[in-house]
Amino acid sequence: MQYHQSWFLGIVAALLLFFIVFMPMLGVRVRELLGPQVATSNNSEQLAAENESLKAQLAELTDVEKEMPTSTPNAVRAMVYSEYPFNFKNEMTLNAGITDNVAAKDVVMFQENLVGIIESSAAHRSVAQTIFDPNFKLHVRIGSSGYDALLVGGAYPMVESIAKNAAVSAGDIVYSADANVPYAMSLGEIANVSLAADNLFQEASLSFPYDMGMIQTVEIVKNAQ
Amino acid sequence: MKHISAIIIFLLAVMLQLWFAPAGMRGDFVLTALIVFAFLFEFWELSVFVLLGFLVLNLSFYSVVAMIFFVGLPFVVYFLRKRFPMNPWLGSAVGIAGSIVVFYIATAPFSAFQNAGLVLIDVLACIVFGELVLCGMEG
Repeated sequence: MQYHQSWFLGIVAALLLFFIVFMPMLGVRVRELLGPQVATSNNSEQLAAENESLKAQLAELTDVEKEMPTSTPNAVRAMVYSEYPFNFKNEMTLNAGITDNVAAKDVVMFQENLVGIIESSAAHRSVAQTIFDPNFKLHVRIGSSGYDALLVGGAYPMVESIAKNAAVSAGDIVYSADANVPYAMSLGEIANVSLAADNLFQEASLSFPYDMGMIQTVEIVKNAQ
Repeated sequence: MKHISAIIIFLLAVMLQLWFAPAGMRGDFVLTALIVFAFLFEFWELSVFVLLGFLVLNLSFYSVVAMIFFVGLPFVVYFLRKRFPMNPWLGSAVGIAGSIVVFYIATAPFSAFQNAGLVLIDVLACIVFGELVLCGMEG
C-alpha cells in the first residue's frame, strides 16, 4: 500500500514538474483564479489615473499656461522586476538601464503619474526611489491655484509646508514643481487636510490612483535637467 | 482526510499570500504551510506540495536563489525533524521563523535589513498562521 502510494505521489510530482517546465502559465491561471484581479488597461484604476493626469494638466493650464511643455520627451518603457517575497514600496527595480539611455534622476511614470526617480543605473537595469520612500522629497504645487508645498515620501506620503491660508481641499491635484524633475507631473490627489503640529502650516495626506504593489510596467522619462 | 485538509489549507495559504500583497504585505503563507507540512507528511507528499507551491507562485519567473530556497527549506526542515525529533508546535514555530529569515536574507539581504520591521511582522504573522495550520491539521 505504502509502495503504491509512493508511486502515485511520484507520478503526481513528475506531472507537476512537467507543468512547471513546459506549462508555467497553468500556475498563472490558478493565481488568477485564487488571487485578486490584476489591473487591466480599461479598468476604473486607469480611468482614475487618467483623470488625475488631466486634472494636473488643467491645473497647469490655469496657473501657468505659458510654461506648459510643448513637447513630450522620449520615454523608455520598462518592466518592473518582481522582488518576491518582498512588497516594499520604497524602491523598484526596472529592466532598462544605461544601454537604454536611462540615467540617474530620470523620472519614472505610471499611467502619467510620477511614481519615482531613478537612483542608480546599471547596463540593463536601474533602481528607482519611489515616492513611498521616507527619504523622498519633492517640491510640488497644489490645485489650479498652484499653492507651493513639499511632498515628503513614506508609507503614507504627505504634502507639508502648505501656507496656512491656502485654500486646499480634498480632490485637489498635486503636481511636480521641483527643479530636478519635469514640471507639472501629476503625483496624486489631496485626501485630508489638517493643521500641522507647529500651527504654522497646513499638511495633507494623499490618495493615489494606483496600487504600487501591482505596477508591472512603467515609463522612464528622460530628465532634461 | 489528512490530505484533503492539507489541500484546503494550502489553497487558503495561496489565497492569503495573493490577497495580502495588494494591501502592502506579502506574507510567506505558502512557505509557512510547507514548513508545517514538513512536520506532518513524508517525503513524497511534501514534494507534491512544494512543487504545487512552486507552480502556483510562478517561482520560475523569480531568481534562482528564491527558487532554491523555496524548494530547499521545507526539505531541510523535514530532514532536521527526522534527524532530531521535536515537538511539532515548537519545531514548526522555530522552523517557520528560521526559514523566513533565511529566505529573506538569501533573496534580498539589503532590502531585508532595511525593512527589518516588515520582516519581523511577516515572521510573526506566519508563526501565528503556522500554528493555526497545525491546529487545523491535528485537530
